[in-house]
Amino acid sequence: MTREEKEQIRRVFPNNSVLIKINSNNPPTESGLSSAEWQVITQVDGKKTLQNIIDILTFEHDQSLEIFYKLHQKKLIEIVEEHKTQEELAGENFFKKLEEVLVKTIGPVAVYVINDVLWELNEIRDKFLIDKIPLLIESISREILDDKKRVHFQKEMLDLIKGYEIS
Amino acid sequence: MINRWLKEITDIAGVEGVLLVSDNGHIIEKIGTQLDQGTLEQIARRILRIITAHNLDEKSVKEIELICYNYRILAMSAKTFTIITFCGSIRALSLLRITVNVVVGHLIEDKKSMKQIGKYTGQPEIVLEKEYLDQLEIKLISKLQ
Repeated sequence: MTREEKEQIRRVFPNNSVLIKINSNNPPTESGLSSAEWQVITQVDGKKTLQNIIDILTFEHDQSLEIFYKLHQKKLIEIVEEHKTQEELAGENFFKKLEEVLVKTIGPVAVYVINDVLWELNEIRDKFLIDKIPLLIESISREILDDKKRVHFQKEMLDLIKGYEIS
Repeated sequence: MINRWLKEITDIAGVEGVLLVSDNGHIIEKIGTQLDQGTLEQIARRILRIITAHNLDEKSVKEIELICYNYRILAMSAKTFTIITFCGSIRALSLLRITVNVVVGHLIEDKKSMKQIGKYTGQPEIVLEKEYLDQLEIKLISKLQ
């Protein structure tokens, strides 16, 4: 799976903790589904998360994401809305400031580092939750090899996130 | 000043106490924790033994996490001191690790704090002496022969 394909999937399923349900307006019929898609469909009950189903079926992770994505595109499954408000999302402003601080710390490669870390965490910017900011900062910190620069980056980020309500 | 920095750590949700310990096991500062002084000293020495033993073997250890007395304990070490944090929950572990690392950085940069810490440092190998070992450790060592 390419990075672009995975990002496309992550726009639909921002992480593996989302709950999945059958689209009651378009229930699946026998025709047109592969056996793997049926195996997924039979596990979808509105109570299991995407990860729960991956674990049960023991499919390869990326293969599972592709199946979920195809089923979603066919409008056979939906995400159970968690009603995340704008206040719970880190937002573009946070990422702008993060980029500013990281560029000062490690130079123009910062943008790529942020994207790589988000990729490793299976997250995307526009659905990134405030609660996960410390994990993101910690993961980015591991990419800063110089001890002094790492501490300086963490100091600046701690000052920045003081304004966020992290639980 | 030291107290002010340690307070940054105890302000994090789930943190129940924090110790600043010198390299030879002396508790320089503490905030919170329901554990008595003797138990805290025992925990501190055990952590320092792990760090010191690794340092003697030239395998530098900066961070240790262990579960002890129903706490998740995070210890982060600099050259002459270690910050030991007692957590009741691990909800904010990433935030805690970042904060402790920053506090270590602040203390190293602050001359007054380092002067205060310096009064208690020296002879880190002392924590490896037999008189400081607890019964369980002595029993384990005896089985190595």
